[in-house]
Amino acid sequence: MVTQGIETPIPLGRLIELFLGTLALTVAVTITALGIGTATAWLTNRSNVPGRRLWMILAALPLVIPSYMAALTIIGATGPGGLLSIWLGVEIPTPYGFVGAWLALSVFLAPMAHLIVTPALRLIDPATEEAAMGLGASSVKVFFTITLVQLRPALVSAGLMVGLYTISDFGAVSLLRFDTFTRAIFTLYAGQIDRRPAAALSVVLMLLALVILFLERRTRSRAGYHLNSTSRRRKRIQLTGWNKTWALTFLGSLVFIALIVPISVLVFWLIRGVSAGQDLGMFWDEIGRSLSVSIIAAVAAAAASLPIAMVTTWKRGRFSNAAETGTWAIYALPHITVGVAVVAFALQWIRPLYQTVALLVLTYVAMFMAQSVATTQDSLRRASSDLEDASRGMGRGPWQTLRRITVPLARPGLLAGSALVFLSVMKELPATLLLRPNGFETLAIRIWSSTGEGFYTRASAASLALLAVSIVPLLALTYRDLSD
Amino acid sequence: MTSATDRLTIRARGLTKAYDDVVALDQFSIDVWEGSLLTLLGPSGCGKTTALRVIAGFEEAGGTVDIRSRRVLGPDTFVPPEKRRVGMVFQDYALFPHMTVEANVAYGLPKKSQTHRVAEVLDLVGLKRLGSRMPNELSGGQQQRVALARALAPNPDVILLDEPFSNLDAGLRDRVRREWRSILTESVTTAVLVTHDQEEALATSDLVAVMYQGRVVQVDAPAELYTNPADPWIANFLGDADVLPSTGHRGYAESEIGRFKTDLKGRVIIVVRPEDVQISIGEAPNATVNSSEFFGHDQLVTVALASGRLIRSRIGPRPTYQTGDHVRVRAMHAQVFPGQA
Repeated sequence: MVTQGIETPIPLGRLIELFLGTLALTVAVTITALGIGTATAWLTNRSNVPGRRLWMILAALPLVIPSYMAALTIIGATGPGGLLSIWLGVEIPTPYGFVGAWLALSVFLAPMAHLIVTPALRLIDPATEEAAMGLGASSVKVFFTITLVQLRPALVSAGLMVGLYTISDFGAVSLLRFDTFTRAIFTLYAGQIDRRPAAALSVVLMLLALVILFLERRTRSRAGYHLNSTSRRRKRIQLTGWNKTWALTFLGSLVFIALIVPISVLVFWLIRGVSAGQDLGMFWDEIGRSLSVSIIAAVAAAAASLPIAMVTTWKRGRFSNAAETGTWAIYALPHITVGVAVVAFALQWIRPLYQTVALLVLTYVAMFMAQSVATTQDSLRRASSDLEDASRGMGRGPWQTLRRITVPLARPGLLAGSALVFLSVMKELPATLLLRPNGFETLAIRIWSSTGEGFYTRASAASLALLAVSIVPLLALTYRDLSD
Repeated sequence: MTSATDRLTIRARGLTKAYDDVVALDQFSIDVWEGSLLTLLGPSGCGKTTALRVIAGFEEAGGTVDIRSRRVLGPDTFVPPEKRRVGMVFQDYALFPHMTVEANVAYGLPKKSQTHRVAEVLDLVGLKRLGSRMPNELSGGQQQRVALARALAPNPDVILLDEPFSNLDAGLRDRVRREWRSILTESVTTAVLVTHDQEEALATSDLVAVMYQGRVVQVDAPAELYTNPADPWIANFLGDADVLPSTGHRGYAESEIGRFKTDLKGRVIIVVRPEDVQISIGEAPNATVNSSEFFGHDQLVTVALASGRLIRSRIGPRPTYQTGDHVRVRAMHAQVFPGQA
């Protein structure tokens, strides 16, 4: 496809360069984020580290920070005149390129791993670890030989999420100037009239994503889940002396890098700008647009995921596998390629919908629905598939059964799924850039465009607003983990 | 005077259903008489639960089902489950976890009669005081009684029980079974029970329908079924049985443990139950004790006949036999089937 046409716009060498760059970043970020996420999950669930519950929330919080905001604040914290040079008196050079992208994505994707590993950690039968200790294994050995092995399915899922996110990330790599497929696609797309090169690169990126998805499915079927439900109380590992100090230092620096620095940078910019008399620019409309598309997409995704969750759990039918794989396949696709594809499709087939909010929301739902399908499936799996039959048998029709039995039982999953979709839509940038109607500015778009034009005060105000509206659904998500 | 079919609660004819390549029901037919308890008995995977689900309307199938002379399943008919007036008790009880016991029981009732009827059926199953509990606050046995109360509440024409006792431990099971039988009798309810437990089927039912590979192979009253099974497979499925090969000749089949009346000629199979086999020590021994298991109220002695075949005998606790004892073995009753062992 690259050599197709008369001109060859993408030289092979460039393609290989992009491929290797994307791959290296994906592998590095996945390993780092899994390491950090597993460590925070273990410390906040299994050890007696002081302030355990607070750390539990703080470790999940950076999830609300979009990657482009992370990159933006790294730029703001480093370099000449950066916040860190003011605080420390030493100038740290801005880590443009691979290091910066790696740092930004790892730190801000670690919460995803943390949130996936936490429930898995709780499902491990404590007896297996106690048995190992009874055989004389140290707690370090127990962790690596018993705990980690049983966490494998969760780590594979988390690795998939982090890996897919990394190859499709656009904001961080663009701002930190590291060349990956997404950055090249956007440059080609925005800078040229001929959109075929962008489409060709999109196809390569899409194939890469599908290969990762395929590999994950293969491992999953071999891994086998250990679902030993147990109500026995688990003894927490007692951290003492240096171990406690190390644990606190680790959690503390993580929170410093992932929360304190970004928020300080944003506040610093805001104050500096306002005191210099800069115009903040009103952006109530942007907040309103972000909120409304996020809420509509979250509700629509939940509504659409209920029937899919139903056919894939209680009544497995002929199309259930296709429906399940379909939602995951779309989820795995990089947003920039989805954006390119939807634009092309709309221009060709559904012209009236091109650049409408309806199409934008529809795309959000398709892209993020896998999240709410997964949480809803989880809720339905906890209940017996006979419940619907029981209701029908007692004289209640399908609609009453749906309203009185199925929806109430699926509710926790529907709510959690809506929260996840809300957060995703709130942060989404590349597909929004490509699909939004002219003049339809959301918070994400405003942050992006202000940054590009050097209006850091505006960017910081919009960023803080985005964080503020994201915090409620995130707290709702972490709340259930706190009760143990 | 009512005609015979008026008293038929369920009439199923030629039900046929397959999942992909697996046949679940193959020309399944059954009659269930009003006020009676019929048990579908069969090994797991024989289609008994599918039959129940087709009658309830949870699955479609070829063939016809009439409930109280009303066609609910046929070539052009499918009455949805909510319009069939059938109550179902599920194997895992399927209590609505987000509703109290009262709300569960009231679920199938019209608003105005709820309070009265809920109290009535909860009283019937002995759970009057637990109405405000949530299902997960009840023991397994209590949950099961809620499931029964819930199914009985709307006064269904028939109640379908899908292995309701299989999740209870053995000690509790017999008591609960008797209790349920009397509840069903008291409420004059027609019932179909599905089980793979022979003892449960024989002890509970008016009629037992034995199922094998999707079809009914024999329907009879428990005692008749046990003593006169239609073929060796049924005999074996219903209880311990040993098999001896023989030949039918002049009205009898001869064997090492006696001769049995039969009209069959040529090769036959003699099927004998351990409780029909007697052992004695003394004259003309024809077997050697191979092993014995002692259970207290009885013992099961396995003997080897001269031909080398092993036959079991269930006898009282006394006398006991030692391995190697020479004994005389005779069967008082046996069944003769055509075929080759």
